[in-house]
Amino acid sequence: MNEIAAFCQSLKKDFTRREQNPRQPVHCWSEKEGFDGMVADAYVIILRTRGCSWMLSSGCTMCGYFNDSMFTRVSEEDLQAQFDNAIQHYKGEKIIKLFTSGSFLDSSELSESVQRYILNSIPSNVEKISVESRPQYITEERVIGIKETLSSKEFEIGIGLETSNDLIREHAINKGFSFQDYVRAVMLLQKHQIKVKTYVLMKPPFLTEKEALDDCILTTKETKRYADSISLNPTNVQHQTVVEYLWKRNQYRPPWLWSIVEYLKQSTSFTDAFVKCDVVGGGSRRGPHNCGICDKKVLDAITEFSLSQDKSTFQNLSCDCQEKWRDQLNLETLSFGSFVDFLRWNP
Amino acid sequence: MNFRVCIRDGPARIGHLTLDTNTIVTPNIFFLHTTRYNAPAFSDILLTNKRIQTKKPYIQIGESLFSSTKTQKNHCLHHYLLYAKDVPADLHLSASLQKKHPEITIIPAKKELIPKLTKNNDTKLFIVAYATQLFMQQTDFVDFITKLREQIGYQKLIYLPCVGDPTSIAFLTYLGVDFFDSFSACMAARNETFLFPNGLFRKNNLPELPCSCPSCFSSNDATVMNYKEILQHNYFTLNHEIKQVRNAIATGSLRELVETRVRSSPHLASLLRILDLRYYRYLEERTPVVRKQPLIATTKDALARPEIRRFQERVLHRFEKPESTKILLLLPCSAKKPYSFSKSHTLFRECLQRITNPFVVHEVIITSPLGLVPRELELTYPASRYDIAVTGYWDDDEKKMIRSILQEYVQRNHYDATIVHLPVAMQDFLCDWIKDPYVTCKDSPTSTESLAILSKELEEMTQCYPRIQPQQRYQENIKSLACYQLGFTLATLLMDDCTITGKYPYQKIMHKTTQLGMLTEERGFLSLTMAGAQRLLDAKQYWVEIYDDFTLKGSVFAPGIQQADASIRIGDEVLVEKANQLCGVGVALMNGTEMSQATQGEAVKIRHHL
Repeated sequence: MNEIAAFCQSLKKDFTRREQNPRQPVHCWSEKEGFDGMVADAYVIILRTRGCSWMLSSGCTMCGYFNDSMFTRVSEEDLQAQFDNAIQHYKGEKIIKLFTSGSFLDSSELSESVQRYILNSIPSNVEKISVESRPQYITEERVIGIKETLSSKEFEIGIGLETSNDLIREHAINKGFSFQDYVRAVMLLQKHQIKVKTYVLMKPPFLTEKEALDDCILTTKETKRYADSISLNPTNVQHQTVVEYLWKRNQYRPPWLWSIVEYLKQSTSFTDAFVKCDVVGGGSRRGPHNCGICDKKVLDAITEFSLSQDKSTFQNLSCDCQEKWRDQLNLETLSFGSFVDFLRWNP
Repeated sequence: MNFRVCIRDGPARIGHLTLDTNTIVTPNIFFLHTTRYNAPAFSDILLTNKRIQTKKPYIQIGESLFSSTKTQKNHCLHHYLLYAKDVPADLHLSASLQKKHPEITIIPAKKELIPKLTKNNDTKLFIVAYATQLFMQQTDFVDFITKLREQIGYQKLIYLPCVGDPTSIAFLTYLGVDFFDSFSACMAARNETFLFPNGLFRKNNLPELPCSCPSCFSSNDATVMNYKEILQHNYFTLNHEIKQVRNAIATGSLRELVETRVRSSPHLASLLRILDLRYYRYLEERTPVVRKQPLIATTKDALARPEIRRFQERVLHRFEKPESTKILLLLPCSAKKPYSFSKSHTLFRECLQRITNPFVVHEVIITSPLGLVPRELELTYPASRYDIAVTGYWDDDEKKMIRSILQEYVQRNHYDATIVHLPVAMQDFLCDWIKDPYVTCKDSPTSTESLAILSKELEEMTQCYPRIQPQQRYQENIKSLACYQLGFTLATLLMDDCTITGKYPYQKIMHKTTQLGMLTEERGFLSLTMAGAQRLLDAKQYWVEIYDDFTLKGSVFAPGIQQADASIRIGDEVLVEKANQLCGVGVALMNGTEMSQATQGEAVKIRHHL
């Protein structure tokens, strides 16, 4: 195991897991989402599984979703009960998103029979189903199986590519797969008319704000041929992660909301994909944030853009703290790690 | 990149750094020069991340391994991989993907990494990464910088990004840092804060603007000054302070400046205290034993100065009282130095000289911050040139220090009796544990009454002893000084069968008609002749071994030195040897470790040679 993987693993060693009910999903809720040029409702279910297989071996530097995982095998019956409990609160949303804090297609999380049970139990008026998976579980056999189960519904698989830069994925994220793995999976999905959503990570640890922004832009350009939609995931500080370890020691700052705005503004000019951003923890110290005064206003604009793709929502956005953000972009590299946050300067 | 140290003051030094054809003086400030920030015209060296056209020397930082931007050629650093400082050490060490730069090393501020990242590393400049985070952890910070300096030696440069501002660069230079940058100026300006050497002030806290820099002069009202104007003020202050710091090094008074500057913040004051308390050896090795500048003790921190502690330790562990003295006479210090030249001590000495057997008496001066100064050491630094705020009031720290030193001193040096000719305030904290003290001072030590009692007591107490001849005592006095300067072994070798000629303080050590050495008021140390040095050769101390093919003329330069005794300090008298034969004697301009390491610079000023 390499050093970054060992570091990720070491942080998971001694944390106490929360009491968790294997018959209840982690969470389910309804949200808005852009769909066919309109705004539609989406029902999100997060199933509680054994946990992401990659996480169980080492895991990614920013991911703390394992805090919701069981770490022990969850019986097929329990998993089915989770879904049954969740679907009781379904209120006719057009889209269903089925997430597991891991890979939906990973049979060590959800056996094929559970996957089939769930897909077969999707209410008939649902038009689109969205799941997530690492590329290694996207095989011809699985894809054909899904297509047979679902017939006419639109199916989308989200892949956490994070970045098109293999060096960053390996040495800053510890993602455990390559850009080529992603491309192979996408080609397969395209062949079977399955939609691809690509997750792009804004600001892995060890990157400056500028490097992070540039990397997101380049990734979006380089995935232009592969992604039907792009979901920008700005890093938030999750428990028991490398990111949290650094953040607590003042060696990491979540991205500025201005960086997200800058990315979204530019994105329309170099991709036709639908680009959205759901800012988890936005405006808090652990989430992407600005100065605290303008955060609400900027977050609203980001949400608005994610539904409408209309960059005029950013037009009248400004705040004094933009100068500090620009300083950060301009000077951070020359500070050699000293200034991870240009907002916080206490001599 | 070529670097040469020119002037030293403690761990701080003034040096010359040559980049291509430009030479700049250090310590200095890298002024940021980017698309958003223009370095001021008075900057000496720039730090940039863009391609620039300039006649000034600059360092251009390229893109890191994680950057999407294509790196241009000629960048000083590119494809470097910098992990945050607190990741496990093996992750730092695994960063082998990065291209090593021949002249610059980025070292994450983690002590465990120092040995591995500095070993077999020929780069000249060490950039401390995550410096501000380290700076907040006081003990770790001092520990890291001192360890780094010890590992990389004297020939290399330390650049501490982001940390230095006008309040701290004096201390940081004293700690051993060579390069700072203009980050503090930019950050402060962005936060409407004016930098001054004595503190940082928000613009609303400056009802009057105490500055005449071009920027302040033209507006004269802090509250209306904008970001750009404040930035210019801050640049000016940084530049002003770095010059002050260099001046202080050049004049040997950096410590005094540091003690003033650290008053501005408890954080800095703690750092200096930690350095003094825990890193005495680091400071002492770098502190000269002879100095022309007075030691100004106006703060509590001055009590912890390395030269003071060294003086006290040498008085207790090297110095031996003149052998034939039997009576200890404790005297107060005088403002004028050396003491003998003062009015009060002239009076004391007159009392002493009037008695029939004066040489049986040993004068020891009680003082703060040195503790006690035997008369024989009054010409040596720092006893010869210190100045302290005198109030007649002694605080508990001073009392405790004097008591413990005197206590240890009299255990090591035996006297039959003690005469206390000290002001009442000092009698109060000293007499209670001196065995049968003869107190001769009633009101003031120099009053007619006190002096009369002193004379009478001296006469009575010395009568019972056989008369000590002046020549014997002169010889013993010089030997006592030699013990302090060279240690007992060398002092015995030097002073065997010799006589003293000349009038104090200019005294010569003679063996028959051959001069062995001389005491001068200017140095307060014994300067040796070749004959004197020859006597010490076999003891293998204070030696500097030069290469066989090196011809000795005016000075010994570092490249000619094979090795040198690590106990040599700047100002020490040293023996220059070639193939185990004495070939010269002179004064050390570097300490022994630096002489062994250095490849440039004047190491020994030769007085006599073959």
